[in-house]
Amino acid sequence: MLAMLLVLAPPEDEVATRFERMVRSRGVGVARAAIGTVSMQVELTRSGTASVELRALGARVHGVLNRGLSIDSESQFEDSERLAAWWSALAYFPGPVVNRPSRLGFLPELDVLSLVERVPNLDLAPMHIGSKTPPSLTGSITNIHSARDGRFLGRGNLHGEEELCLFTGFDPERTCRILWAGDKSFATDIKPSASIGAAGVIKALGKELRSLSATFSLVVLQVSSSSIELVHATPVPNLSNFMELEEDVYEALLNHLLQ
Amino acid sequence: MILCIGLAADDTFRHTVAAIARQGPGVVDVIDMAQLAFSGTVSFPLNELHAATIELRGKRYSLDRYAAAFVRLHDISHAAPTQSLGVRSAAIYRILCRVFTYARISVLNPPLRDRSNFSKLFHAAELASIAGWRTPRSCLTSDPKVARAFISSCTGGVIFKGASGAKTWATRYERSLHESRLDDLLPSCPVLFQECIDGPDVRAHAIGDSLFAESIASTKLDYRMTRGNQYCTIESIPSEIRTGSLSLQRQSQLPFLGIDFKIDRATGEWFFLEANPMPGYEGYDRRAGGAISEAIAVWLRSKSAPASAVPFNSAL
Repeated sequence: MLAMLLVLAPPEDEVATRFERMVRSRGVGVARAAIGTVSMQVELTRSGTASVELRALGARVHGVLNRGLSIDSESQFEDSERLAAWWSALAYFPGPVVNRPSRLGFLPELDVLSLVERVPNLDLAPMHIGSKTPPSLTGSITNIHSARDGRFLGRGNLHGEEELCLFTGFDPERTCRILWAGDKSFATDIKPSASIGAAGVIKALGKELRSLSATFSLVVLQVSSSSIELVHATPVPNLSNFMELEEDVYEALLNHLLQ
Repeated sequence: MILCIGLAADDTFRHTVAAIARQGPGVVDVIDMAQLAFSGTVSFPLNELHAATIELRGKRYSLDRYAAAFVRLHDISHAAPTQSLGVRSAAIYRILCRVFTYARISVLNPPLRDRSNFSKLFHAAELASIAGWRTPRSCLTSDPKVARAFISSCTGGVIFKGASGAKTWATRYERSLHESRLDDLLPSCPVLFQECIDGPDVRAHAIGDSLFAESIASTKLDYRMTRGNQYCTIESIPSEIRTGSLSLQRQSQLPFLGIDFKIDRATGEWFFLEANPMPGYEGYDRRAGGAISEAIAVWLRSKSAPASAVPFNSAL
């Protein structure tokens, strides 16, 4: 075995499971962080120097893919304690961590409001939080996400139990997806005519994402000749976001984690 | 104008609102989160946050009317009487956290500026480094052998407590009581061990460039467990604590912090424990004759005056 990698993810995370399978097929040791499989040691000196050692299945961990952890209401206290422990451990882990925790969150904070504030020439796509589609978005294609937890609820009209939603208006003909994985980025659906104008903003966005340790993240942009608008950003891309690039994306993550 | 959003059932919120209202008539609007969840409506165009509006009991609150806000937000969804109200309440909590972190008005405190409190060791290490303070030696582990080695290395004794922001009591480690439980408990849930600093606790409240500190002498290891504590105002706060507090406020963009320290009785050295951006401070304020809440009100009032209506991050 070359090295031991660790994957932190909720049990139902398909991307994490498929990444583990690919890593194993390359002869690299990999374990899913779970009770009993990982030994954790985080020490802090009086002068504030932190040191971390993680061992999985008896071997020293070399790198970690962080896809977040879920907190179950039935075991909320224990889950919170584990999450807090992982937060400290991954923040100071000396090896590579994809999506390293920070003061802003256990996963990189990719709030669109923050990104447009920090990346020059990046605007926000028409977005509205409320209980109904606002007049300004009537007639345009609208994605609807839960205002409570950010889940995608559908397109068009609001229905179901969520009363407060995020409505995002966009033009599918002008959107493109940029996925950052390790040290690489992958652009899909971007039209050559638009890519030249967007290149500077995408470069600045990539720099910002790296500064936030968002080394596995997806951004959806809406590009026109006069503007580049942010439609969506997440530090937890799902498989449908990169199905056609799956092998390449896992390869990029693996290379990053083996550095 | 100053907008206050919080829970009417929260003593600290009511205490602070009363102090702000004493600044003069017509300076403050107050929104109760529970009422908002129950019967209000929100409309937040994210592209134009200044045009965000809340409607509640026939009154319309437009964000562009306010230059400063006092927000003390709680997720009360778990206490909602119905599932749909719980869903709505959680959504409102999350929306308000986002809006008051990124809105271009002065906010005390922007809710999402620092979430490190969730993880105590990380929080202590990060903030101590910004402020230039020392912190007790700590060990967070799921490995009983590592825990035993750390405990042996702490000649002055060890305490243990939860690793997260969930409320737990700091407890002195006693070999006869706890040794046998390490092997069973640690592998399933890491525990935070810390060298015991023998001496009084300190709670300091930093607001703007003012700092108020009290020492707390208690018969209990964790002073929150008893009511018979002796509180004493610290008149001469060390200069490194003052400068460190200001650094922390500026770097974190949090104008108000409740900061906890321990003072080593033998050496007089201060050790940083944690900084809370939403402290329950009214007991300290009453003993200080209302000086803390007045400083909060003055800070908000200064930010709401037209000449200084700038976002927080441009000025403390």
